[in-house]
Amino acid sequence: MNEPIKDSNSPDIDKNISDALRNLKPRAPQLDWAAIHAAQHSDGSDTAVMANRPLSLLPVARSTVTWLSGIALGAAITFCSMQWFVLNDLRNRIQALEQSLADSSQGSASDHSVVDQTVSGYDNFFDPTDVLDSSNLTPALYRGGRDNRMRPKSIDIPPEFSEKENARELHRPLKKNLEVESDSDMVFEDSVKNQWRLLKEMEPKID
Amino acid sequence: MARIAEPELKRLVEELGPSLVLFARQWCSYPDDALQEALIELVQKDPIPCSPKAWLFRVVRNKAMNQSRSERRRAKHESVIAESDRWFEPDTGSRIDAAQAIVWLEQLPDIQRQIVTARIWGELTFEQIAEVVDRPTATVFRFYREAIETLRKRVNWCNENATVMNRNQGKGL
Repeated sequence: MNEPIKDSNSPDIDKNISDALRNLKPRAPQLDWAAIHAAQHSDGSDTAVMANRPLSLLPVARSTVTWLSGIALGAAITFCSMQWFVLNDLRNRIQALEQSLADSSQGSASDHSVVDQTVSGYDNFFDPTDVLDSSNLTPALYRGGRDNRMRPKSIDIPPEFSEKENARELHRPLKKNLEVESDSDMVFEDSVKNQWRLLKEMEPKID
Repeated sequence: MARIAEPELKRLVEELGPSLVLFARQWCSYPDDALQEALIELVQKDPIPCSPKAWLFRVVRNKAMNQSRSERRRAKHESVIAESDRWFEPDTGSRIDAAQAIVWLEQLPDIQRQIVTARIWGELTFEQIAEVVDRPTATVFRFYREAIETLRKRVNWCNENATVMNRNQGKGL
């Protein structure tokens, strides 16, 4: 190795001092040569064995931690991206709903029942006197008329039956009749008519 | 790729052993142990370092510093300086007194003392010293010049005092 800086540039006094110091001989070391020879002729130290072991604990643990941290990081990124997409979709849906609601409110601004949805407006929308004053007050109207199938049909009072028929109808189990005749609305209607007639007949007896 | 041969090892120890012990003594009170551990590490090293000389100084330095940390935990009454007379071999014929040189070396800053020891007794180049102490070569050279200048002033001061004392003794004062 070349020495770029030489002591030749130093003054003589410095060289004299360095020479004078160099003349002081440091004490020789006292070494345990047996230990050095033993180490020299040994096949390998423990540290060398540890370093050359292919599956030592430290590298395996290190790689395991690296893999686990990588997997955890990937899972976290996937979860966050999914959350972002879901939230973005929800926001778009809400905006679309708001937009459609705004459009519908603008389109039917004259409809008082739709536009005015406040508490004060609800009073104007639902006026019980209008319902009570209605001449066509029926259970179906009370239900709002939403399900016409549930609206009861008009019941006509059937003609008078003979005593024999009355007794037969009276002793026939209602539940069985319902089960048998439940397939047809007409049959059910006849059964109701009979039941109604029988009840009418029994009214004076109860009194 | 092979370990160091025994003749090469003995040559290194004969050549560098005393300077390495002196170098390690700056930090610890048992420099022989630091050198012993460094030599054991050297004979087990495969392949051998490119520059065994600089490698030995660096490893001995690290071992001595580690030993110094251990010694600090021990009782302070164990004086490290008590073995100052063992730094150098007695009666070497130098015009500088060994005890005085020890005092001067101890008064130098640590980095300057390391550089002077490695340069004068270890005979390392400034580049090798720069590797050992982890400093740029120019910085190492500047520290060496400052240390030599400091030592020169002290040597001159001692010489002047000795001259004055001799003159006074000659005059019978």
